[in-house]
Amino acid sequence: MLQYTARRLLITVPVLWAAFTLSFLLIRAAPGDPVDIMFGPQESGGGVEAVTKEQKDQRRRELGINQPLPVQYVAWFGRVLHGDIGTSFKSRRSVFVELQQRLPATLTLAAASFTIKVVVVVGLGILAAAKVGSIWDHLVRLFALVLIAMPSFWLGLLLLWLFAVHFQWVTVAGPATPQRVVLPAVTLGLVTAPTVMRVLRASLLAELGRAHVVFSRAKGLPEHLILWRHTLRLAMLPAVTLLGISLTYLMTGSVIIESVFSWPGVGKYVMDSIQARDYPVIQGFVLLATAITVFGNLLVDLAYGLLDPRIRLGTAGQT
Amino acid sequence: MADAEVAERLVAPPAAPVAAAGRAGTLAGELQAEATHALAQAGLQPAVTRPRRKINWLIVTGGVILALVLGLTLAAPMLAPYHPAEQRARERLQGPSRAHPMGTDRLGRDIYSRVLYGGQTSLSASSIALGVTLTIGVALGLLAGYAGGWVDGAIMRLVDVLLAFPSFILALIVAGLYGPGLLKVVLAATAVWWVSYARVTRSLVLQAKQEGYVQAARAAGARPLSIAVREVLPQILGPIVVLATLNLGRLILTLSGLSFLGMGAQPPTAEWGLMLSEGKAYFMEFQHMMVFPGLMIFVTVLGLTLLGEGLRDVLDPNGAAGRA
Amino acid sequence: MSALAPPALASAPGEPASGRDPRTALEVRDLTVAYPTPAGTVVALQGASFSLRRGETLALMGESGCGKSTLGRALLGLLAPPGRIERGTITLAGRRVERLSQREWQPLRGREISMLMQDPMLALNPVLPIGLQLSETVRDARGRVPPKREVRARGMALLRSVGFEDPDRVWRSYPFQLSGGMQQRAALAISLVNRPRVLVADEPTTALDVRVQAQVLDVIRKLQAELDLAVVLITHDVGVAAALATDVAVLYAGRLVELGPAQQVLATPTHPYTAGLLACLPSPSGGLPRPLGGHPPSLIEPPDRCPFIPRCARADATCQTNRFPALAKQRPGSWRRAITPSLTRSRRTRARRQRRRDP
Repeated sequence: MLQYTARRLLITVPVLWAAFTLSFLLIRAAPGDPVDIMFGPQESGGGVEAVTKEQKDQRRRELGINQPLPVQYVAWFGRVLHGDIGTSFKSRRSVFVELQQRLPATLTLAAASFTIKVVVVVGLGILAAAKVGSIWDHLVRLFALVLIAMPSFWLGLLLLWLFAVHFQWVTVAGPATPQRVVLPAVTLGLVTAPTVMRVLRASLLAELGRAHVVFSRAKGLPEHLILWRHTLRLAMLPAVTLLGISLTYLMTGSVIIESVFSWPGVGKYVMDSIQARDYPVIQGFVLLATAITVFGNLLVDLAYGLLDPRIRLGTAGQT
Repeated sequence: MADAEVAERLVAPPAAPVAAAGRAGTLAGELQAEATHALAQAGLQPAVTRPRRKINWLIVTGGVILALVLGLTLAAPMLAPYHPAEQRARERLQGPSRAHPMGTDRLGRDIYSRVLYGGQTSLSASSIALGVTLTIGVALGLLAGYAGGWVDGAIMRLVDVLLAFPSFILALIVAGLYGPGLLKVVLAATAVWWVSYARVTRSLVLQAKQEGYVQAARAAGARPLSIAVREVLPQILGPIVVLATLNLGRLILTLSGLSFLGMGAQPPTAEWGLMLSEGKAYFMEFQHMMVFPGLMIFVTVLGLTLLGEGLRDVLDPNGAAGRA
Repeated sequence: MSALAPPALASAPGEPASGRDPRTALEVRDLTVAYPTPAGTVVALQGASFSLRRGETLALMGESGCGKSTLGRALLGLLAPPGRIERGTITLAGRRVERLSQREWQPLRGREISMLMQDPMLALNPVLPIGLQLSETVRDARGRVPPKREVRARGMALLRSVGFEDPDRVWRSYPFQLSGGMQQRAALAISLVNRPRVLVADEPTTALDVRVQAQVLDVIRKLQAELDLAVVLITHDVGVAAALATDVAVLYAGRLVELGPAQQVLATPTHPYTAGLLACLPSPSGGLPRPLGGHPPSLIEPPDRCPFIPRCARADATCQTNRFPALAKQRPGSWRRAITPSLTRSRRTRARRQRRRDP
C-alpha cells in the first residue's frame, strides 16, 4: 500500500506543475495591465490623486511585472513554493488570508451537501438496483432524469421561494448559520447526485450479474451478504471516483449556489474579485482549486487501492 | 455545471480499475450461453445486438419536447406579441395577464416574448459551442488514437492537465479575465469541453483498430487517413452523436449558468440565464420573472437528455459514450 | 448395477417420487425448462428424467447449447432469467424443490446441493480473501453461523482435504494470488464445507491447465468418497466422464437421448448421436477423429420429430414420419431414445422393435 501511495503521489507532481503553469500563462495572457486596472478607478474617481506614469512604472517594478515572462514565471513559482500566492489589489491583504477566511463557509456547505448527496446516491442507487424493474426502480430513474435537467440556480431559487418566502422557515440572507446551510446544501447535493446515482445503479447491476454472485447463491449465502459484502464493494468503485471528484468540486465552492443563496464563501468572493479584476485573488483561487482537484483525484486513486486489492498489489493488469 | 463537471470526469477513471472491472465474467456470456446459442441457431442475432422493433419512447418524448421548444424559438418573431427589448414603463413588474402571459420584468418588457427570443440566444450559443467542441475533440481524438506514439502521448497529457482543472471554474475565470460576453464564454467552454470527445474518440479508434476490417484495410495498403475517415469514423459516429446530444443539454446549463452569474450574455440581450439572474432580485415578490425562463431551460435540457438516452439505446448499445 | 432409473419408465406418473431408496439423493422427472424470448420460447430442456444415489456420479454430456448447463442450474433453482421450469419435478433428498422461491431455496443451497463452476477465477469473488469466502459459507446443522473458532477449524480442515499443504496461506490469499487449479480446489472446498448431498460440477476442469485437470478430478473423487456425495458432472469431455462417471446421460437439443452405465455407454454407444460424439475423439488405436457434421437444431418451439435427423447418417423415412419416441429400455440399466435400431443390436431385434413401435 505504501508503494502504491508513493507511486500515486509521484504521478501527481507533474500534473500539478503543468496545471500551475497553465494557470500562470492564462492569467498573464489576459488583456489589460493589472496596474492600469489598479489605478484605473482612482483616476476616474475625480482625479484627486492623479497617478503619473512614473508612479505606475514604480508599482510595476514592485510587482515585478516589468520583467520578461520567463523571469516572472520563475519568481512567481518560487513565491508559490514558499506559500506566498500574492496580495489582493483591492484589500491589500494576503490572498492566502482572504481565501482562508472564506474557506470555512465553503467547507461547511461542501460537507453538508456531500452528506446529502451520499445519502441520496447510495440510498436510491441501491434501492433501484436491488429492486431492478420494479416501480421503485422506475421512480428513482425518473427522479434522476428530472435532476439532471434541473438548472441548479433555478432549483435553488424555487427552494428559496418555497421555504423562505412561502413557509418562511429560513432567512434569505445573513451569516453562515447552520440553519441557513440547509437549502444550499440540499440544492447542491441534489443537482450533483443523479449522475453518480445512475453510475452506482448500473455498476451494481453489472456486479450482481457476475458469475461469483451465482456461485455465492449456490453456496447458500443470504442475499443481504451478497449485496453488501460481495457486490457493493466493487460496484462502489466508479461511484467513489465520481463522489471523490465531486468533493473537490464542492470544496472549490459552487460559485453559482453561493451566488444564489448569498453564501459568504470562496465562490462568492471569487465572483466579486473577477468583477473587480483582482488578478492575484483569481490566480490564488486557480491554484487552490487546482491543488484541491489534484489532491482529490489522488484520494480517489487511494480509495480504489483500498477497495480493490488487485490494484493495491499491482496485479490489475493481469487478467 | 456540477453535472458537466462530474460527467466529464466520469469518462476519466484511473485506467487500472477499468481494466479490472472490465474483466469478462458477466453472466450474459456464461449463463445464458444456451439460450443465446439457440437464438443464434434460429438465425437470429444474439440478445445483445438484437434490433429493437419496439417504439423507443425516450426518443419520441425527447423529440416532441425538443420540436416544441425549437418551434417556439424559431417562430418567435411570429408568436411574440412584443419586441423582446420593448420597454413599457407603465407595465413594469406585472404578473401574468391576458396582455402579458408570463408577466413583465422590471423594465416593463414582456417576459413571454423574451422567453421566446431568449431561446434563440441560448440554443444558438450552445449549438455553436457544441459544434466547435465536437470538431476539435473528434479531430484530436482521431489523431491521438490513430497516430499513437508521441502524438498520442502529448494530446493525452494535455487532456490530463485540463482535467485537473474544474472546468466550470476555468470557464468562469477565462470569462472573468477576458471580460464578460457570450462569445467569450462560448470560447472558454469550448477550450475545456473538447476533452471528453477526444477521450471517447480515441478509445473508440483504439478499439476499432483491432477490428478485422480495419486490419484488412491496412493490409490492403489503404492510406491511414482514408482508413480513419472511411472505416473508423462511421463506427464511432453513434457514440459521438449520443454524447453530443447529452452534452448539448449540459452546455445549455453551463452557458445559462455563466449568464446567470453575469459572465455570459449581457443586457439587454434576452437570454434565459440572464433573465433568471434579473428575476433573482425580485423573486421574493415576483416569482414569475424567474419561474418561466428556468422552466424553459429545464424542459429543453430534459428533452435533450431523453433524446440522448433514447439514442444511446439505439446507436450506442455498448455504452461507449459514457464509458470511454 | 446402476441405480439410474428414469422414473418416467420405472414407475407410473404421479406416484410419490421418493422414499423407495433412502440412498437416492436426487430425482428428476420429466423436467422441462424454457426461456421465453422475444423471438419465441427456447425449450432448453425437454422432459429429462433420471435419478441419482449418493456416492454415484452422473455425467451429463453433449455439445454446447444442448441443455447441460441449464439442467445443472435448474437443479439448484438458479436458472438465469428469463428461464423457468415449465413442467416436471425435482426431488432433492425427499423434498420437492422445483417450485421453491429463492428465499426457500437459500437454506438448501450449500447444505443439500452445491455447485462447482467452470471458471474458478470468475466464480470466486476477486476482492475477498479465500478465508472469508470460505468462512462466510459455514453453517451448522440448523443453518446458524457457528462460533468463529469452529468456523475456522472446519474451513482449514477442508482446505487441507482438497490438497493444500499450507491452508493458512491459502486462507489469507486473494483468488488472483492462486493458480487456476488452486482456485478450483478452493472453490470446491467452499462448495463442500457444509457437507451437501449433491454436487453439480459444471465443466469443472474445462478452464484449467491440462496439467492440473487430473489433480482437480482426483480431489473431487476423494471428497466424493469422504462425503458420500452424489455428483452431477456436466462435461463435454469424454475423458473426464470416463474418469469420474458411474453413469452417463447424453443430451441432444435439450433431450436425453441415451442414459446408462458409463462403461457401457462410452464403450458401446447405442444412439447414433452418442456414437458421433465419441467419434470426435482420437481413438487409442490410432484412428483419426471424425468430426460430427452440422449443428444442433434450433430450440425454439422444437418439432415432435427426432431432433438429430438432419445430422444422422442412419435416419430414414420412418424417422421423418414418426414422433420422437420416449426413452426405451435398452439393456439392463440402460435407456435410449431413438427410432432407428440400436447400434449394438442385431437385425432380428430391430425387426421386432419396429413391429412393436408401429402398431
